[in-house]
Amino acid sequence: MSAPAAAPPVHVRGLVRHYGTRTALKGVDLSLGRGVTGLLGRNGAGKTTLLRCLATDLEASAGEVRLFGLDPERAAGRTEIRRRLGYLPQNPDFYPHFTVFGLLDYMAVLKELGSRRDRHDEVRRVLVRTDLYDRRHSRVRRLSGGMRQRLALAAALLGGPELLLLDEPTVGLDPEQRIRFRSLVSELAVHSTVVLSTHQIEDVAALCGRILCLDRGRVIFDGTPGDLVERARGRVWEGAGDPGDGCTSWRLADGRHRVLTPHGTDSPGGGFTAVEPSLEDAYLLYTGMDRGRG
Amino acid sequence: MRRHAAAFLRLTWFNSRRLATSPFLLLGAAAAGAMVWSLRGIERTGTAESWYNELSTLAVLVALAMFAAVTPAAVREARHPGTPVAPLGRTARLLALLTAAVLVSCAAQAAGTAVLYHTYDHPLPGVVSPYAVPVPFATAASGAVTGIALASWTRSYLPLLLLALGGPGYVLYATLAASSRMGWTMGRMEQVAYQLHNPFIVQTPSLTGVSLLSLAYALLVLAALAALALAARRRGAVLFVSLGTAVALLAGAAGTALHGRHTYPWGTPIPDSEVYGHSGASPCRELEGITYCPLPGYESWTGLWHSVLGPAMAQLPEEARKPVLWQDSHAYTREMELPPGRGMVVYDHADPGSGYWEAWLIADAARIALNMDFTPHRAPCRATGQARITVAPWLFDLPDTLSALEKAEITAAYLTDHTPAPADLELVRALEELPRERVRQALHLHWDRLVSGELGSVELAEELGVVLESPADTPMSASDWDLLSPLLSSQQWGEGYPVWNADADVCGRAS
Ligand SMILES: Nc1ncnc2c1ncn2[C@@H]1O[C@H](COP(=O)(O)OP(=O)(O)OP(=O)(O)O)[C@@H](O)[C@H]1O
Ligand SMILES: [Mg+2]
Repeated sequence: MSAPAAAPPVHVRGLVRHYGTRTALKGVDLSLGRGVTGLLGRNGAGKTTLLRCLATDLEASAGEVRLFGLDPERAAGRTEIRRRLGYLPQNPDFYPHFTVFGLLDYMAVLKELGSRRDRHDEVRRVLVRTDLYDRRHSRVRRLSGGMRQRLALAAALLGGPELLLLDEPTVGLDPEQRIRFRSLVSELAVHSTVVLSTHQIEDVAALCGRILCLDRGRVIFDGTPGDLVERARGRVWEGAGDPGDGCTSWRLADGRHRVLTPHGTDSPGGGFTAVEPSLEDAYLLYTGMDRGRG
Repeated sequence: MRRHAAAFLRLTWFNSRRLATSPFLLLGAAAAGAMVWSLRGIERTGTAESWYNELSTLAVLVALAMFAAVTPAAVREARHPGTPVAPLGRTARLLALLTAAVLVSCAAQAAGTAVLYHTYDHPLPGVVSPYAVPVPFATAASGAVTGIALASWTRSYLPLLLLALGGPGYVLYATLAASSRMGWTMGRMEQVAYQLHNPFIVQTPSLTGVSLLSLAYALLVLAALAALALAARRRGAVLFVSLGTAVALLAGAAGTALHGRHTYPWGTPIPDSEVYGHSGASPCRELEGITYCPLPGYESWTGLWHSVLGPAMAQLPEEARKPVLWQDSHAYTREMELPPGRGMVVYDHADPGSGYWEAWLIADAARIALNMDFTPHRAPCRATGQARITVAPWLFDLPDTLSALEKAEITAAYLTDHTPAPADLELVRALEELPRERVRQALHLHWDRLVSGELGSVELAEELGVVLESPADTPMSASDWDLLSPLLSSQQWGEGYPVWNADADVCGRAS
């Protein structure tokens, strides 16, 4: 039943997924070990589809998916994988009439957690970790958006999964909760594999040792945040004046402009000086570059 | 695998606890209790079958309550099929809910069964075969399983809403529109629903064969409903397998129903050997010349019947013909050996102390003793002016708890069977007033002429020193009744009464 110890938690080769005539994933290859991996990409890039395939929620149309060395297409493999993973979907859809505690207890039963006492201990543990303990008797439908998001996170944490798939987990969280979330995930990443899809570059910068950029169903970047920033060096400028068309720019609070130029050699003109790129600059440049190429 | 099974059991337990505390179930339980109790009403002596019939009624009520109780959970599962991704997937969750629903339904039914059981004095007469016992449980469970199937297919509360509106609507129809065209349609629907619930013609828990068929039918329908629930909104192999299973099970249920209707049609006599646990011994037993043949399980009722017939027959001479009493079932036709002219039939209900029941028993025995061509289920003969029709009312010995009107009704009901003359009723009244011993002696003295029909009411009255003023040769009309028995006003006679039997043969003259 148990998988070969050496098998990587996530191993994907040539993963293709169609929705009718639309192809959301066009041959994704990746292999993930411990630590946090950030999944970046524009809307519709295929992040959610990839996570759902990893979460055994969707079947691959083609290609090979192995999680802990197990095949999710086989019933036995799927059950074992599901025991070992936690998934926070992009739009968590919970039974509105349950209480917070009741819902997590129910999910814990579905996750095959042991006796009633062990289960309740585990539910209390994840409630404390997501700062929802005081709301444990509230009905789910009475929770605020951010609380619901934390509830979804709590559900994903049940049973201490080895693989944690988080699809935009920080949407709706206030700054304090976001910091809590970051420290929680970085703690978990010591022992498990975390995949984090997000549009919040700060979260990626703060958490991820590895970044995957998806674009139109393909992986266009796979490396460390440092690698990504490195590629942007010399293409980020700040200065007074009008940068003109053809490059991405925005006005800063002090009235000057920050400009991203697609090609390293192009200066937006006099009055602009090259500055240290941020991860966000790099991400924008990288996905923009690809767009320029296509 | 063990871990998976344990989690499945835990989920079933989790669902069971939620269902068991559902307000629908609690409300339903209260309503069911009240309803079964009120239906029992002026209950006759309880029997195993009357208990069983209450269980069947209870089962329908439990089914309705569980239908409601299970709907929120089923809608929840149907609307959120993918939450969350967990080892216990969609099918396991639905199966766990089905299992929990069946368990809670059966627990509710078991509780009701036990409570009802304790409201009776035991042992209960009659037989309930062990194969019939699970049938109400299956009925009770089918409500919840239907609820899950409908909620899974519609993903909505619509079925529950229809039930909630349909219930009061039905009551409204029953009170207002029963005779209209709409009422006719509803009546048909009601019939179809009833037939689906129990499609057999002969329905009794005492017959082994009938019980087995009912059990098979109930279980097949229950399993088919579960398969339909599992098929809801599925695709591919799951849909194919579960729908195929449902169709096969439904075909099996239909086959069982047809086989049952064919094997046990209406009116075909069924021997005692088909009753569960029957030893094969003769059912008959003689007490003071009267033969009693109770249904299996009703042996204790021999004493009940004899406490009525024994004293009555003791008033008549030794040579009076003694009845052979066979007990028939209300649910089927029992194979009986009724000797011509001596056989009488009673049923599996008894109402001791009411006067009506005793009078009805004595009336038939008296007809046999007095040679009045008695055959069960045949129209009685005409005996206008004959003294022998006054004997049975004299034997009735009605309890004083009855009102004068009730006593008059009982007497009238017996007399009108035989198209009495006004003089006959007058004699009945006179006999009540005379010392019993004197009447007894007169009857014994003239017994031969009495049973041959030769002795007229006028003559018997003269023997006893009574002068009758009314005519003895014409049947009593409604106005005669008004005159002689003012308590029974003529409005009480329906069309054709009181001379409904005027064309019948005159009671036998030969002994
Ligand atoms: N259920 C679906 N049916 C049809 N097409 C779908 C479905 N889900 C996603 N798609 C399509 O697949 C592509 C990838 O969608 P996906 O949800 O994976 O993107 P994403 O990267 O998660 O986007 P976002 O950042 O907006 O969440 C899109 O073109 C989308 O329109
Ligand atoms: Mg998405």
